[in-house]
Amino acid sequence: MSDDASSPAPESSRRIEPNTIRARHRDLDVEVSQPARPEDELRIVVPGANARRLLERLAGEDETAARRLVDLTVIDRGPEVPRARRFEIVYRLHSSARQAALRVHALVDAEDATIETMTGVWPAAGWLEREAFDLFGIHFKGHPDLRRLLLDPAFEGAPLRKDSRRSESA
Amino acid sequence: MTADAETGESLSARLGFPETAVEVGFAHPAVRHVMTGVGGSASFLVHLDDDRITELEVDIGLGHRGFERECEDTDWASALPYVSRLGFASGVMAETAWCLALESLAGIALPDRAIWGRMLVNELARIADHFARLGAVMQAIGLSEGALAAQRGEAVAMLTLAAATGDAPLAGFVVPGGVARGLEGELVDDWAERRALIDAELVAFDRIAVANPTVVRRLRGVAELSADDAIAWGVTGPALRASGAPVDLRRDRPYLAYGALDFDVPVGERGDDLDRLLVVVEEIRQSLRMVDQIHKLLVSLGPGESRAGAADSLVLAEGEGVASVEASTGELGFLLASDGDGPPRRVRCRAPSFFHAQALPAMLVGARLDDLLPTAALLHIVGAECDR
Repeated sequence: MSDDASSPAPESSRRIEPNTIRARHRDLDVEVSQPARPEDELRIVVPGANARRLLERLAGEDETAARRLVDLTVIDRGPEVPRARRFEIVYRLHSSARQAALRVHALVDAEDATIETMTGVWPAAGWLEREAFDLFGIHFKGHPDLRRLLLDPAFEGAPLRKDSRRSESA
Repeated sequence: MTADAETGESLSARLGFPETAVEVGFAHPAVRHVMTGVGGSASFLVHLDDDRITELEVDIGLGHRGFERECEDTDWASALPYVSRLGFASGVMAETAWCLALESLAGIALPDRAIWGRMLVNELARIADHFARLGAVMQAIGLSEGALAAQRGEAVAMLTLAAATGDAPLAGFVVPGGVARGLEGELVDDWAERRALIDAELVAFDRIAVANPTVVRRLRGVAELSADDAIAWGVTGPALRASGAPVDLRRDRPYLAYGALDFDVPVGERGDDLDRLLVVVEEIRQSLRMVDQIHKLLVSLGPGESRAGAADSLVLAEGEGVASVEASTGELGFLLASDGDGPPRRVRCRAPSFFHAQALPAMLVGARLDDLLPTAALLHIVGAECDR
């Protein structure tokens, strides 16, 4: 065991600029917002159909090198918004090399609620996608084992969708 | 391995035995010992060749209580008691992450006493939690003397935590805008005494377990996890550091006032059970060092405001508030989506135990059945946050 006292090299602490992301991934229709505080996550919105390509680039490219999938979840904007913007699949990424945090919101149409799996890039996506399938009914195309995770296999419905009703007894 | 090197045939096949599958958990007392005793636990379906694990399926969800939906169906202020119950001692860490995310949405600045008070309970909770893990792993390998030392350490740390919060660990001590009360009463005067008690248990544990060649032989090389695999599976906290990755949010992205503290980040080399044990023991020492510094500063601050008045009526911006803390289990974080007014749009808890439970098969295939429980204990899997 050893104590690690080394701090990240100055070169690698270079921040990822919103403009860099915008310019590099223009072909994927990304929208990047300026973070309010420097320590905030960089927020990137992308159409669901382009999400896999963007995420693979963010994970692989030297500029970002987002090797860690910190979290993957869903935000349901509710049945009252246009169905093309209802579901946001949220990927929180972290790059140790850059000490930078990114958050990608992939917009998914409520009609088919389908997006490609990211298990090929981050094994940790396996359970996270199963959970999103379980609680939100989102389908992850190409997932090796897409079945319920937290709920009973016989349960019907997607309880974290805003239009799912809670049972009266609850 | 028991498989024949040339034919690849398993020992069971050669001897004419069927391969065995056993279910471990969810209510078996041993499993309850390694999982923190709140909110449910996992069950393990273990496929065996002789006593070697050939396949492991981790089944979670028994303790699922719809935590996130429950929070989304209430208002922001009422969700806190649910948050406190994501852990036992570590409940205050979940409260801290929740409040930091909420305060970033509400634009609330914290008074100094709140910042340092939160760090105080976070580190005390880490000491209690780490001792609990050490107790669980000692129980799992059958060294009851070591388990007793660790449990005594946990008890002293819990009492100290209760002295700081003024109540039981689930007191809702960390609240939006600050902490429920400042440092007062006995802890001001008797921290040195309490620290000596915790030190004594740590020394006892060192003597009984860490310096014990049997423990070293029992845990060395068990369930190795490389740093790359740990990162790929989203493993965080002491388990990631034991694999050799010096990642600690308190140092890398300092929240509260961790940037002002002097502490080391211990790392392991092989990422096996022994390294995980050693990292946990060293982290108790580092947390004690931190509490010394925090206590000194809090005493020098004296009595005064420990909660921002602005938090009495929360006005939230529209958007997402995100915060993570280095909990005793690993990176514990919240993503809170707000519509501005109305109930929470989305409450998402990033629970380290969830990731650790998922990573278990990658570590344990090829290990012995006996290695399952000590490894689960050292990965800090808490049922309440894993299942939510």
